[in-house]
Amino acid sequence: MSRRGCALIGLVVLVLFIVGLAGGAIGQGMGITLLPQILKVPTLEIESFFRGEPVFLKDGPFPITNTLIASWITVVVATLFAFAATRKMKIIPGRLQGLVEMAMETLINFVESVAGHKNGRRFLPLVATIFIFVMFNAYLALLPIYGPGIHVTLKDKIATKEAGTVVELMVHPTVEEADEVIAVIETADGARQEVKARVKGEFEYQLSVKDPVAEGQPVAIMMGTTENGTAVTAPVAGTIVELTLHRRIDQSEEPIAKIDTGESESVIVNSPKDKLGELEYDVAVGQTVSADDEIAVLTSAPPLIRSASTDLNMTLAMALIAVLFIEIMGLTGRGFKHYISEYVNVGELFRGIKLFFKGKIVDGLMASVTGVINVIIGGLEFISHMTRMVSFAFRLFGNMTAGEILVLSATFLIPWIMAVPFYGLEILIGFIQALIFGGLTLVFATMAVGHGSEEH
Amino acid sequence: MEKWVYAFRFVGIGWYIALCIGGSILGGLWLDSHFGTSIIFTLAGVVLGLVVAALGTYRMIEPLIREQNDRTPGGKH
Repeated sequence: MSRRGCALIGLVVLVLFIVGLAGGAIGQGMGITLLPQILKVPTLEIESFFRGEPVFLKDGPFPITNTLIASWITVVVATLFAFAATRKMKIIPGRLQGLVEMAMETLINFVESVAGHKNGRRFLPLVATIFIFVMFNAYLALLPIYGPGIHVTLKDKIATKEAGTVVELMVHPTVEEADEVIAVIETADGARQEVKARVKGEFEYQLSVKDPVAEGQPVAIMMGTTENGTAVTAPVAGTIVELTLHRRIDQSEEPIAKIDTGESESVIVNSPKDKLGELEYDVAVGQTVSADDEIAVLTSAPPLIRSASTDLNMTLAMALIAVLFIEIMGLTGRGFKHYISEYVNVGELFRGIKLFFKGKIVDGLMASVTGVINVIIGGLEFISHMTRMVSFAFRLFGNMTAGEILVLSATFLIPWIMAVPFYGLEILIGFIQALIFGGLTLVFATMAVGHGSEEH
Repeated sequence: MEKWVYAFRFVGIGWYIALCIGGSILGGLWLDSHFGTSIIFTLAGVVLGLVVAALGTYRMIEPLIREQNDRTPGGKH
């Protein structure tokens, strides 16, 4: 590239860096308001750290989480990739076929060099699958269509521009079934009582969370049906601690509240542009608000796709498969007797006891002590095999989640520029984690199979 | 490729130590709260965890130590 080109790119990067530094979280912390509202850092709240969030069939017995969708995508993409590479096989491979052949050869060589030819061929399918699955998961998760690897809810605060009295809250929660819980009240002595709706339909809350409530005071009022105006009253006096029905914003710029400013026409407050999610009001009908008061918080919906490795369920499932595979290989490779004697090694103890009863007290005692030590060693072996499962699951989960948090933090600290080097790091980490997961399965399986034959 | 095997075998040791110690301390705390004793089981848990972790770690690295001893001038290699 010419020197002018280099200088131009350098200049662009520098300008982006300065604007990002001033406009991102660092700049905002120092009180610089350079960027328009839309580029500002929203309030982040981390929810659902260890698992994905249900996005489909939320109430069913098998909710579809966003991480599950991501792992399906990985399976489909890996399959399509393999299909595309092997569709027209040639003796002299093309670029794609060549790449896949090279990758497979490297994998086969790696596996065979650790486990030997015979065992290597037995272990290859699972080890290669784990490697490819973990790596595809990690790399696909770097695509922009994937949401952050932790469920960060962006909480947008909606404020009113004018002072006045709230006369109407327009987004209504709907009660689908009679007797549905609509609020929870905490009484003075700390007990919690649920407030139930008696009829179905749209409600409007008359109170917000943390409001004190007297016995018999209306908590919500039925809207726009034959039961119009029926109030759901509080069964006890106390404080509202939870409003269980959430109001959803399904459209951009939906009107959410009407405020009477004292002039002829009321002011209508809209939800932000292009933001959907769950709305929670901070005001109640009849409340007086001043200009720039916060009237509601809009919590963004979870992303549709989220990196599969950031779900502990997925990594634990893979760890289970790997550990089961290792144990089964150990069982079939060494025979039941050898396999079980590794954990429950009581032969020496029984021999000692037998000797003891035969009258050889010193020999029996010695053998019994060795026997007890053998039993303890068997226990240790069992513990060390079981910790593998935990370490498999948490290592992958931790590394992937940490990477996602790193990229996310960098994106907000200094927008545009800072995330790029961390993306590079994530590419490296994706490969390393795939190698470690697959490699550990391979090495443990080799140890499980080969241990006995090496020593005896 | 022997190196790979050794490297991978030691990747899990940290987890093993952490889980042994942490697990037995948590178990001790639970037993203490269950029986209403103050610290006896927790202390026992600490000791047990440390011993199990040390023994297990020794068992894991034992083959490597043995091999190192074989390679010393007195050995066959």
